[in-house]
Amino acid sequence: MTGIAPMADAPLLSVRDLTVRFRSGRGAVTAIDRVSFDVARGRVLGLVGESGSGKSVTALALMRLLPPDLAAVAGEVRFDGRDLVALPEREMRRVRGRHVSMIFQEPMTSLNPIASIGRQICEPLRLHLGLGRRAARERAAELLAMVAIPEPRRRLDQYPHELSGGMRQRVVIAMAIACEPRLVIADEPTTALDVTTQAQILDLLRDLQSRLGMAIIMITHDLGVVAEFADDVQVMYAGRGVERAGVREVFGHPRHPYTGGLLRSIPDFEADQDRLIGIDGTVPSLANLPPGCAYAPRCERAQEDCRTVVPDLDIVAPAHRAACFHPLGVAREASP
Amino acid sequence: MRRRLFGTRFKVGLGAGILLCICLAAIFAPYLAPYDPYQQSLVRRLKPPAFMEGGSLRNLLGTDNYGRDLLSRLIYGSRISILVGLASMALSCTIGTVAGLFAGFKGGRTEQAIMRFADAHSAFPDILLAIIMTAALGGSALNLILVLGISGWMIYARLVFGLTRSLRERSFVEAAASYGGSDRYIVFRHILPQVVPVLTVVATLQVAQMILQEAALSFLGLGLPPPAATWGNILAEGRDRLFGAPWIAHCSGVAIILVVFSVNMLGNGLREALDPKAAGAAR
Repeated sequence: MTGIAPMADAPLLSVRDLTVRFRSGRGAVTAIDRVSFDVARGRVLGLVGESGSGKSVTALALMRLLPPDLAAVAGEVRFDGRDLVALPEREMRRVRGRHVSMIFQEPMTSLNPIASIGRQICEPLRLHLGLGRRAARERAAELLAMVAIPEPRRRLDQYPHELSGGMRQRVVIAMAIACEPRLVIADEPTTALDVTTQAQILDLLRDLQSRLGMAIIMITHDLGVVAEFADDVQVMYAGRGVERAGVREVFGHPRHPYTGGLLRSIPDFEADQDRLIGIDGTVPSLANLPPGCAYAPRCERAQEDCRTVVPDLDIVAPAHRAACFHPLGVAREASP
Repeated sequence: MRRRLFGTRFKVGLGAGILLCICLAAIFAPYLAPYDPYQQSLVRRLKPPAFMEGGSLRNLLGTDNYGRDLLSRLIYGSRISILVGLASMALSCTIGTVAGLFAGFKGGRTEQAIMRFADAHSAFPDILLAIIMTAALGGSALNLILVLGISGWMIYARLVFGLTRSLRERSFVEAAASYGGSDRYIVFRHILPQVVPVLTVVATLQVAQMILQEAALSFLGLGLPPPAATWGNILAEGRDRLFGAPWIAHCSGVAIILVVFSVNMLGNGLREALDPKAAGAAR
């Protein structure tokens, strides 16, 4: 690759103040506002949030797959020492699929319906590794075996409609790991699958991650998936990062009231619970965000400062950041 | 399910069969035609076809005003019709497909420029364009192909544009970009192959249109100049003798109808065969 030797302790991916603004008819909408996070080599970052919180836009911005005429991307995405935001398109194409690859949500539509499985898995291999037809096919069969698809050689000549949803997602994963990338961005990889298949796919991803030593950004709205899968968690709300810490820390001691609310809303089947607990109110429209903290209108802890100033994602506890002036667990101890 | 008059296979078979015969006739015209299509004979003027009173087996379909054998002229005429029909279809299909792919994939200003130009061109009468071009360039087979090819690209552009627009939003296209595919790679490997089946149907049907238009232009004197044996010319010559010698106009008219009919049969049959919703009913 490049001549720059990566520092051993530097994170694989370091995102600083990533901002995405979409131009629309009535002006610009900020879909992502100064989002920062790191992904260490070989670790899993869970990116959690509701629909519209900017998770998928973050993923597409990292891959530079947003339409340039509609989206303005600012900030820095340092991957292995190179800033992906500033990279020329030609070089970016060599990064996509080779060093960073992506798994999409819908295995039904992310495969080309009129191309055989084999041809599709061979595509990244031939594009990036320059493998010949036969070598690529050989490697494709190996990859299908790696993602635990039975009879890989026969599957190569099948078409997507002949496979079940779980099998298709395995094929998509095989394509994503084809060139042994160092970072895989998985955008809700299990959302479209049924629960038993979900568990199998997560097991597979975990297994591949430890075997190939790749880092994963797991984008999901499912806290269960995060708890099971991620090492670190970044919680997103209305296009901003609101909390970031290790997975145990976030689930054990949530600091941001939004995270607290999310965790409280998980139904507890042990307790005799009649109603589901939710968070009152709705996510504000990105075009019309409140001046202060975006969560303030729904937050029971909100004070005057919350409504006027946007809180930064600051350290509230060791290795724990939250964008809140009155974080859970901390404020009570601090106030006399 | 609506019952069809003919099955898909029957349509494709019949259409392809007739077309194949006509193509073979065009290719082997020198061997099939009983006479030289340009050989005149004042003695044998305006002979009726063999099956009419006064006709003889020497001229199966009779002769025209100059005593030329109509069957031979018809067979040679098929060469022009087939050539012009296929070549002008290929030309307009290529222009339209490239324009549609470009507009659909790029979007924005490129899309606006190409599609608005297509709209403007659609509003411009084809015949007027043909008159201008023939006046400027003169009548020849090449010019006919150019005129017809250039005036027919909009339908492909619109069709391909619409399909490309919807395919571009599909996630396998995004996936192809996510593993490092360039725009050109995505367009040619992922979008074009999905457009081709629809294009095939429209292109087939358009051959019939082009053959009709060629005949119309020749009839109006905007095609190949008179001695040339084209179906349009035969038709035009027959017009003057519609009462005295109706077979002249009739034979080329029937030939045109036969080709257009068989092309439409083939096109509709193909559409049914390639349309996944209709396929179940057809088999």
